[in-house]
Amino acid sequence: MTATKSVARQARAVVLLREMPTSTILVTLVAVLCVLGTIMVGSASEVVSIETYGSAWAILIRQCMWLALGTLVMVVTSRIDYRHLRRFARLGVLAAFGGLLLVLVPHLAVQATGASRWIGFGSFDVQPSEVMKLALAVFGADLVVRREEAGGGERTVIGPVLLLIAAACVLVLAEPDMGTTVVLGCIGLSLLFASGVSFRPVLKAGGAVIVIAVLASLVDPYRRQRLLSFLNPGAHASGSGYQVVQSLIGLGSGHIFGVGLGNGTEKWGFLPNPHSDFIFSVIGQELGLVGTGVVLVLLGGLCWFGLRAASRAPDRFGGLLGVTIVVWLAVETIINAGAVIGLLPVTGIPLPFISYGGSSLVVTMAGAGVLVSIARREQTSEGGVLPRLVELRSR
Amino acid sequence: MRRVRVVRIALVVALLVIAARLVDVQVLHAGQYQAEAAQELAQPVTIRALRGTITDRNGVVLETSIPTDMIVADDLQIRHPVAEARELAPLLHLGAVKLAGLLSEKSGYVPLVPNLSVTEAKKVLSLAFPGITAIGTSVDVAPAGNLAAPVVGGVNAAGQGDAGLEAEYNRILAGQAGQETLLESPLGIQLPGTPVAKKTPAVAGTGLQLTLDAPLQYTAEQDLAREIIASHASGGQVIVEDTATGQVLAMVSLVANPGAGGNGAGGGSSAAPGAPTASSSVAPVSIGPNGPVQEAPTNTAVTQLYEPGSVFKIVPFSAALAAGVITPQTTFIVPDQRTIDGYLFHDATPHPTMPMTATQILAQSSNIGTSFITQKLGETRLLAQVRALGFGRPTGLHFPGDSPGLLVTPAQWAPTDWVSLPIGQVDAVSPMQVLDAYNALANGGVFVAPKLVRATVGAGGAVRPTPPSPTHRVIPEAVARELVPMFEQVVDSGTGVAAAVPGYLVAGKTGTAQIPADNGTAGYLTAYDATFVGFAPANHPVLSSIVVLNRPTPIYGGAVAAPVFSKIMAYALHRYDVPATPGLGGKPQATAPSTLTALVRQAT
Repeated sequence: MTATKSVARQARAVVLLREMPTSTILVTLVAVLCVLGTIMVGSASEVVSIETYGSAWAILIRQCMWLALGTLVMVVTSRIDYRHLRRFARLGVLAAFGGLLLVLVPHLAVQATGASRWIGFGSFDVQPSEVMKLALAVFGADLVVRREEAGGGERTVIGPVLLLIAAACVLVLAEPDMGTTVVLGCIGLSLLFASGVSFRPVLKAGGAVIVIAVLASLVDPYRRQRLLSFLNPGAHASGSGYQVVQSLIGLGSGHIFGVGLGNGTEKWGFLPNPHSDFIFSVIGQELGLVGTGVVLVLLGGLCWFGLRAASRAPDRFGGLLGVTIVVWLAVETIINAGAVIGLLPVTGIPLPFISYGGSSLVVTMAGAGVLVSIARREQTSEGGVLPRLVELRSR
Repeated sequence: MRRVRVVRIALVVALLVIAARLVDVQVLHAGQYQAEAAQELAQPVTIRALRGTITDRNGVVLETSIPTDMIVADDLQIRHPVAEARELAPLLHLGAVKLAGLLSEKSGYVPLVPNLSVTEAKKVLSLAFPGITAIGTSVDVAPAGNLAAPVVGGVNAAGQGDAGLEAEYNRILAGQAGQETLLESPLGIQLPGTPVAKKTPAVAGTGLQLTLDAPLQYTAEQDLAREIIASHASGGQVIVEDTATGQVLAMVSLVANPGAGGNGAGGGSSAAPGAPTASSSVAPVSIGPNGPVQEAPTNTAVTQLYEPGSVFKIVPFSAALAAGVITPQTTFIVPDQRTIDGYLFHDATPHPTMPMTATQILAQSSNIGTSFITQKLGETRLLAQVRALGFGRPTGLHFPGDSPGLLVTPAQWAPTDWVSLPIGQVDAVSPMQVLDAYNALANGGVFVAPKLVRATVGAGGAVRPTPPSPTHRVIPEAVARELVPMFEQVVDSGTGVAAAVPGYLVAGKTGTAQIPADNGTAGYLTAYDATFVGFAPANHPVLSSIVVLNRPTPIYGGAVAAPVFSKIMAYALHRYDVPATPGLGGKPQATAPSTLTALVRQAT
């Protein structure tokens, strides 16, 4: 009896999700992720915050300000029709390239830990490579659609997009920022992949990128060190493998239910960047496997329903843009979590919506807003327009 | 779109891999990582043990260790430096303005007061200001001032004895440091709300009860200090010893402090609590860095070697009597000077060539007479007696720097040494060694090793007496019986009359030795060390003592050292109620002569 009841309840839940507007699901997921992220940034940053700013709240307060800005941006991008973005595609990508060039100008950029990735605006710093992610997605999708409409064939699509990716990647790699380079490469390649162009040139390009990435890693001593320590963290436990060892200690000591919110010990100076690069480890220690599992489910769900929104998009531009944004979020999730669990090298990619990080959070939320905007115009497989609860309520 | 499905599958696969790894790390290997987390947090912290207390023989505290708290501010946690400083200032004995400055340094660790009493620290902590903490520590104090400081020695900043008895007995005084385990961040911050795992508590050190007697020590320091000032000496030493047991009752090493000048009267910084002064009418000499005399940097009574002069004549006289080459009455025709191997030797004062008995030669400290006796004795027996009387080996005192002395070796033997050695101008010895030789004579010829530690006192108060000093015979009893009256004559009618103590028969010897140049040549300075060493009552010795003055004016032991001996011995004999010698008009003899150990017990 109970078994049939629970099966029936599950079936009802699935049906509910299936019938629920994708935009509602996406907004809910992003909201839950942001709340969870803010709480965890608060917990993970307190020690670093006291050390750096003399107050346990300083970093949390900054995160809340960025979150407020991000929410504003997300509301705007989700409200406006994503198709209007096509008009700003060129402007956006030009601005992003301009920013990437600016950070390479000595004395103009803010330097940190051997890299110059930021441009300062008062007390806030902006990372142009973050802006480039969204700009590349929008401009790329627009470019593909325009070229397809022009009927120039696959060549007119693949060439320019690869060139665009290469240009962006080279500039970001020069900062140097290996992680963001990989994310940008994935954004561009996923665009080509989703556009349905024949796969061989894409694979070739992808292979070339990987070869270049590996070569670049081996040439630069800093990256080589990181790569080698990733392959064998124990041997570098006191050096470059230290952070991964500490990350694993944090995760493992959390066990299933964690040591309790705020009770983590790794953030007390063992784990570097506990509130940004390694916040996933802090979640694992304080909230256990339950915490890390919930984060994975939330981010996985966001990607899953993001893809649903993309596949239900009313036009080709929306579909391509949706897939690209989802791949962007997915790749960041995988690279960050992969590094924290010691399966991928540490590259400094934030965990979307969770990690502390000013412009990165705002741009990620802008991307999520675009995704919601696409979802708001989703069509059923029969081509009909679904009832839009969010819109109905807001009116 | 088929390709969207590919992306979807790739996403699911990637998330499953991550999930699998999370289960691996967070569930399957959780125990291992939990252990590593606990291990990297655990920080062993040493708890300093309280040092044992050093007291005199009656429990007067000379040096002890008091538990205190160091008050430290984590000024990053302090919100209202000025307001908090105003409340804390009186408790910490600091100025409010200065304290407010310390509390706003923004450095994270500001030691405010190194040693605050535990009760005051409690008051500070009861204010519960965040960031104000107390760290348990201890401070070493000498309530008796610098009384016997060269003997007691000192403790360095790390809590380890670095001089004197504090160094010699550091192992038992220091106790055993305890250890506790704190959960700390790599920066050494104890994680909030974490328990302290106390592993082993500190074990307080074992105390020492010395053989010293604080009032006698004080008197001896005062009397020697006065003489150093009066004779413009550069320093001096005094030792008073219990003849039978070898227990050192007073051990003084002083140096003049020419920089301080002064008239000698002053604050009396070495005043022992409750110590009666020998002559209460005289203002005490301030002994200390600001006084005219201060405690020597090391215990020179044990560690400083000097050529002792005529007090060394105990060596040829005891050997000659034992060998049967002389009796106290053996007569020699003695001129006042004699040339040996081209060197002119002479007596201290000119006199006509005259017959002198061995007793008179000793009493008048005739160097020429002694040379005739040594001639009869011969080199071999002379050198054997030097070693027999304890010279050339450590005294057995258990004191750092207890030197065996520097004895002449056959290779260094000079043609005149058989004349110079018996008059104490060849071998370098310590005042302690000279006293030991005379104490053996006082003891009927039995050598008793000196000792400074009477008992150890456990942290719980258990007193464990140290084993008695080892003894061995160095002079045949019959020889000692013959020799003592000869040394009585020194005080009765010879060079040491100033050492006499009214009512008591005193035996002893003066010594006035030229100080060798320390430029490595065989030459001598026109500077002298003056010594008097002796014991009383001579008919039944209870106390023996040596007084040395370095570079005094006048130079003679009989003139500068003997009077100090007299004063100190008079005080000591009365303090211990030693019965007066019958027939000398002193204190009537109440009981049979008793040992000092019994007498000292009465004196407390």
